[in-house]
Amino acid sequence: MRTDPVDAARFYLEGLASLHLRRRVAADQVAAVLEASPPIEYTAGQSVFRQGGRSDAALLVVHGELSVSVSSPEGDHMVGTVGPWDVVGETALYAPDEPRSASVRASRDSTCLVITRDMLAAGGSNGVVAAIEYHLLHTMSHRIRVTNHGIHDAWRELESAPLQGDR
Amino acid sequence: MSPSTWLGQARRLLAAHPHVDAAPEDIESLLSMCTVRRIPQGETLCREGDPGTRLFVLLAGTITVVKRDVTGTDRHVGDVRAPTLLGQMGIIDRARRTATCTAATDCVVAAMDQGTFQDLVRQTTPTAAALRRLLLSSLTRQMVHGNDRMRALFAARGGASTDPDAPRTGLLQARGVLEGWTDDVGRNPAKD
Repeated sequence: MRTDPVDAARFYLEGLASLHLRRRVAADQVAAVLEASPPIEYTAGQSVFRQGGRSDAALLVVHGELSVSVSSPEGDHMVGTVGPWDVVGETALYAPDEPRSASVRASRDSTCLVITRDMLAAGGSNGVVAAIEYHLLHTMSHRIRVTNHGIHDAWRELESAPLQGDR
Repeated sequence: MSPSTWLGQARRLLAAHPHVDAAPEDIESLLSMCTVRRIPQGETLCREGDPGTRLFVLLAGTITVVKRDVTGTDRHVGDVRAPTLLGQMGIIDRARRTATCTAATDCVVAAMDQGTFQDLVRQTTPTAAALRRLLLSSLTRQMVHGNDRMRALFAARGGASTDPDAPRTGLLQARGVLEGWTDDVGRNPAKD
């Protein structure tokens, strides 16, 4: 049975606020966010956004799964999947002039919330918006640490073999 | 630095983060919750490996950043100039410092302690929103510029280099940018 996307998004936002703010938020605050950002459904196989495109929006995955791929001269590479509680496209919020660094496609039927900076700015006193911003902070911090650890590990491996420039 | 100059500092900080939706007065309020002190040239602000218990706002001066590479060698990553946030990764994740920061000139630094930060970052006040948005803007810059540096290094692989240590320096600078210690090394030079 398919879950109603608005119910799923409401449940998601209530959980997000409880997790990050350590308290329940009023129903009208959840409703205000859902009115500003109605959930969007993607069917499996549908493109969500393309590498190189520009946008000022990030996506919170409420339900389902999205696959992320990067195109390079050597070909297309799938770099991972994201599911409920994950965020994609978050750099667009504060670097709207930067092109998308990857393409995203729904690998299963999915429900997402579109987050824009205007939506965040309009909801400064809304606990749900505060929870979304807090969630973005920790998601980005985690992503930076994962990338950094990857560089560190790759460097250690490289030290066992000559680095470019070594003679 | 007197509180009367904080509004000016707030405006400078916002100018450095043009996409942050906050009023200068909200940033001023944020600074008023910090302990402001002068750091004389040569004094160390934080050391690699220390607990990340404070968020710093560099209000005046220049900080030089040194980071230990995977071989245990300390390398200069870059310099960071006011106004900017420093130490945001440690206070968000309660993680240890990943670089050592020393005052290259006499500096003025506002520091917010972990307790104040953790209480404020969950609030719905304009000051709390300003803090979250400044941090989000900083993290975005770290991700975008750090990825640029990595792409530039990858594109340069196999190229002739007169400095045999250049790849290591490049990797460490990319990590320094990614970790938010410095933006001094800038964007991919090809895009500048």
